[in-house]
Amino acid sequence: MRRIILAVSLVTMTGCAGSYKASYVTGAVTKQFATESYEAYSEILNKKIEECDPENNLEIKTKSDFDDCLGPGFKDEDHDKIEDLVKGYHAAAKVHTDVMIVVDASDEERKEATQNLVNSAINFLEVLPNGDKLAGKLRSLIK
Amino acid sequence: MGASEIITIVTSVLTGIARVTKVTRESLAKSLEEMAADVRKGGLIPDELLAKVEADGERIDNIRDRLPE
Repeated sequence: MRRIILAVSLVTMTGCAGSYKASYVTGAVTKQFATESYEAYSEILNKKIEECDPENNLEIKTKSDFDDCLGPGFKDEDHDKIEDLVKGYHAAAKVHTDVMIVVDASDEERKEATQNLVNSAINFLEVLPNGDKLAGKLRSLIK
Repeated sequence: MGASEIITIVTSVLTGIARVTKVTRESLAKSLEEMAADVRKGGLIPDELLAKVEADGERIDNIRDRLPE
């Protein structure tokens, strides 16, 4: 009987540890990929801002000149959309971290928080230029 | 989109994937105690990303605000 209880405990502990590790690795990879993707976008955005700044470009006289110069994916309203989605992703990351800290959180809670984190990262990646490819790459990395 | 931008994106994506692969390898090698300690330190909250996005947004707004409609 003792052996059976020990075996069941070991299997349960291994299962829980595996599930914790899976949630952790998915969270770490998602965070790294999302950050790297935005950094690549930000580098291009900042070059464009430099080029389109009216102090460097005399053709820029109005707000819409500036938006046109930045172009699709980089202009103010597009960046606002990215910012909103990053806020959603940041909130999902907080929930994910909380669930990972709580000792008695269930596997289901961890899985759900991890899935929400991944979904919100994909939502944000999809609005970046070339977003479909970035989202697809993240999906394949955490598969 | 110009050739230099495409090169920047491709290079960044390749560098990004290499770093992500490294993170995956490092994460898999961590013990549960190390993972729990990392999580407690806020290791899974992407604060720097949010700060960078907000700073970029502010830079756009500062220039736009100086321009007429």
